[in-house]
Amino acid sequence: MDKNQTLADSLKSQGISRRGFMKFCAGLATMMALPPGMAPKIAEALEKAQRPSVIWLSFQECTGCTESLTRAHSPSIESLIFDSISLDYHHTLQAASGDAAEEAREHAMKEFYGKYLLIVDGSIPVGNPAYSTIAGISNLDMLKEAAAGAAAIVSMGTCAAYGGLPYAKPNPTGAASVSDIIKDKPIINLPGCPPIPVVMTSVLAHFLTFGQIPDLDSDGRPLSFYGDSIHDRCYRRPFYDQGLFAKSFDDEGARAGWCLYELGCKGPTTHNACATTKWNQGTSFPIQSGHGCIGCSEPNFWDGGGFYDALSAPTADISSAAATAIGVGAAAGIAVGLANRMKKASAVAKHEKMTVDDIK
Amino acid sequence: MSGLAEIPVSVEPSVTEDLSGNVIALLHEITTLQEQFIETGEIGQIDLMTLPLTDGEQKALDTVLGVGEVRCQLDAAGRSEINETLMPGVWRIRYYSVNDDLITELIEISEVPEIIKAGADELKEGMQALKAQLSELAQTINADGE
Repeated sequence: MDKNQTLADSLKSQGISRRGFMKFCAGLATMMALPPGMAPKIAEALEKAQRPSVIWLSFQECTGCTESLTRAHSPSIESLIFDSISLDYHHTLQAASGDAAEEAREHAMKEFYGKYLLIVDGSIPVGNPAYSTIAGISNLDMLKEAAAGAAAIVSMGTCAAYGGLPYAKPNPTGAASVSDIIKDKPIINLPGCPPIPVVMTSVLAHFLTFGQIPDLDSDGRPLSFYGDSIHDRCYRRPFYDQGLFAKSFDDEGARAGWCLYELGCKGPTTHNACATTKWNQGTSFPIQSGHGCIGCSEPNFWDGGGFYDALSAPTADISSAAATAIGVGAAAGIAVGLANRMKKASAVAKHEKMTVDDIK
Repeated sequence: MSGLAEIPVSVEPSVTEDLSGNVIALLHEITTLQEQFIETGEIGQIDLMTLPLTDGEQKALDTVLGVGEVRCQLDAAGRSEINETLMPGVWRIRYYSVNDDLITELIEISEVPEIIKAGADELKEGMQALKAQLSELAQTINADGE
């Protein structure tokens, strides 16, 4: 494909009409939480945007992030946009291998120095770099070299964003996240195990439209997707507010769709768009299929306690939610928080499960 | 007939039952955008996908806005429904993906929704395509005549 081709040219060659493109831009405006009136401006910018060069580095990862992005059941405009970028290096997807593959990476880094988008999935073993190398180059060296010429970096998935599974205790490889290592480039964290595909497309579209990265939260995640907790947008939230909780995965409450808090749902402390965007073409998300959220888009989620243990003590978020639910004042909320922390310590020591009653 | 239950009766949906503050606020926003369009010609749009409406609220909105005279079906990268409401110039727009998932739901206040209008480049391309066809037809007719 011609590298000077614009995104609009590329879409047109794939049979997407102007109206089809306008529909896509309206959808993007919705996803990026922009006013619908922005859709024509997004279209105008994307029409002129040259296909960006993207270098994708995979380190200590399971390829689930790539699977997530490439597993659309039928072609969507989102996947066409992804097909339209100039993916100059991705060692799982590219046809080239060996020296030819590494040459492609070096060539793209040289030709588009300062302009390419660097996507990283997987964590980086800094304790012992020999745990993961590509073409004899350590992940650490390859990341530093590629980051130097990148316009921005996307940490794709929880491993690249926060260390993920390799970072879990006892962290045998000394795994680190991208932001632990690179300090002088804009970094967008798109955590999730795996992340939601449309989040990736939208970040790419935002970068192409506005020439800058989207607004991020304190953990480096785009606010438009990670601004709300799963709990905030969960369709089972009214049951939580009424104090109706499933006690096991097969009781009356579970069958009636009650809140899964006591079965270990981490929705109250997890920020992601699963409850609204959903998975598999909008079919469902874990809570809708009867399983609690495991909190996969939060830092250190593997070490956050058992997936089936109720959140054993309130974090700042849950204490405020609980305080609101039971209608107590701020001072009482602090007292509840203190009491909960004591209960947490006790529960951890005795390996006991706490329930929502314990935080009331 | 043996009982009242067997007599088919179409019951008008109750608007007031589900007419929550969300729906009232939304209807006020529509009237503001109508005023804006009438006075300045500025097109107004409301993105319904980002508003947490319950099924009941959605039904109440459907009942108040109703179905108007114009219904359009757009086939471009999946289907789209573009229908005028009982209020002329207030349009309900639903875009679906090629997988038939709803991707955008808008209310637009305009004479004709922007997406329906043909683009300047497309107009030229259409004219050129028709001219090319005419030229081909002329050659075929000449060849047949000889």
